[in-house]
Amino acid sequence: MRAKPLLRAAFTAGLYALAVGCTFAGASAARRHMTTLAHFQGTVLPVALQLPEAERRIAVLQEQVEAADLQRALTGGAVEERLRAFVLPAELSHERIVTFLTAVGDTLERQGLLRERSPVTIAAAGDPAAVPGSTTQTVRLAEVSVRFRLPIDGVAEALQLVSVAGPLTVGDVLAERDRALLLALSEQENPAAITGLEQFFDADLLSYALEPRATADQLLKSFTSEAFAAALETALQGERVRAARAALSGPLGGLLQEGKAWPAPALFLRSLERVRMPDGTVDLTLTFAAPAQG
Amino acid sequence: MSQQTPSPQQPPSLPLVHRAAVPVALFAVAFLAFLTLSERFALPALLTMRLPDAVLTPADVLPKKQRLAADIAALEARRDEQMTHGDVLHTYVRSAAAEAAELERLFDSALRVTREQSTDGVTVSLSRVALHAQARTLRLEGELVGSAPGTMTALAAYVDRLNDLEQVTSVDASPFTRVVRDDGTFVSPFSLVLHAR
Repeated sequence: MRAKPLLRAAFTAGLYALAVGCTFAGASAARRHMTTLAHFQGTVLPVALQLPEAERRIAVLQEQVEAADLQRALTGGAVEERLRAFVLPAELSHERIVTFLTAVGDTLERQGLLRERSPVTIAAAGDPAAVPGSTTQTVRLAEVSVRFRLPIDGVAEALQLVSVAGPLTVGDVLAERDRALLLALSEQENPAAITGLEQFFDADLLSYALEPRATADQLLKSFTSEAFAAALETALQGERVRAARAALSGPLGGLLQEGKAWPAPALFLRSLERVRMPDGTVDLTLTFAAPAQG
Repeated sequence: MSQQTPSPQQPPSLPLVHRAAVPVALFAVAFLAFLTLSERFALPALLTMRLPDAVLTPADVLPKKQRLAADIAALEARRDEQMTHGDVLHTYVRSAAAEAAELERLFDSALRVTREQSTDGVTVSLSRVALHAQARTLRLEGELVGSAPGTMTALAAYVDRLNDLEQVTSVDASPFTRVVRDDGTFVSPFSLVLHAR
């Protein structure tokens, strides 16, 4: 008679144990639901909403890459040919370096800034050095130096003039962020017109400096939005673009054309020394590294 | 009618506990079964996204996003390479020209600070300025000249302003001194080396 209540108590206890176990397991499952939903709402959903835009961008970029490929096939690397012929030639061209630095001195003279100039010194080219980012391409650098005596406010002008020795195209003097912005806007507005943007980047710097509006207007035929026009204007007001425009639109541009010294040979500034003279003028000694293909 | 009286061995609450055990256990089992089924079937069905060209579960979304980001980066790199023609010499010339322009900016900024530092009482005079591209340094030599004995403090302020330039990481300064000339003017000569970023 005593076994029945005990059996019933054990059965009851078993049921409660089952209930407690199921409740804990259920609570754990409920917590996993909440975690999954929170993760979905906080992480997965925002990312998922970006996927269509990312896929659209890929389609646009593919279109741009194909258009740029076609453009490249048509132009056939003309910029590179000019770069190798004039800016960074196989053999150092003493004539072109002297012509360029003479044109700089003549420009300063025409502007009433030059008091005296030294001969141009060109040392023998050094040993081949690897070009950063390449395992096969090397360059040999020759030291080039020249000294100008100028009024103190002529130094900035002289530096502006020598800064055009090297850049060949408009793209070479655009700030990296401005290039990136123009590319991003071209994606949004008219992806297929990237060839127009490529032509703008490849536009000859001297031709642009002589006719800046024509080059910009040509590009704006393909991109008509105000945002693009504003970004282009900002890019063209960049420090280096302005300096190149100012230098090449003056007497220097004409002298380089007359002397057939454009594109100018690359001259990388190595040192600059400005020494004040007793008469208030300054001696500006500029030393450059002139590269030739190794 | 017979009247039953509770036995002292059976407390009155025990029958309720017995009676509640089955519904409580059934509820708990149903609760667990519901949530398990929901977790296995309802939740994945609810959270599956149908895109125009794919059906994605939450686990697929992040890897897909990473794949698309990698594709975008590769296409951008290819497009940028086409824009610069991917030519190593052209890139070399462009980078070297940009680096030189950056150093010239430091030169311009230092001269601007020098001009601004010249006030009514103190004049900063630079006798020599030398920029070295490889060492990425700009040396300024000169003196501060003033009619009152504040040139040393003005020199310290000048060094601080040069040090604050965006392109400058540090300034090596010569000892701060002051001498009085025969004409009564106060002079603090200096030789500073600015290290560019």
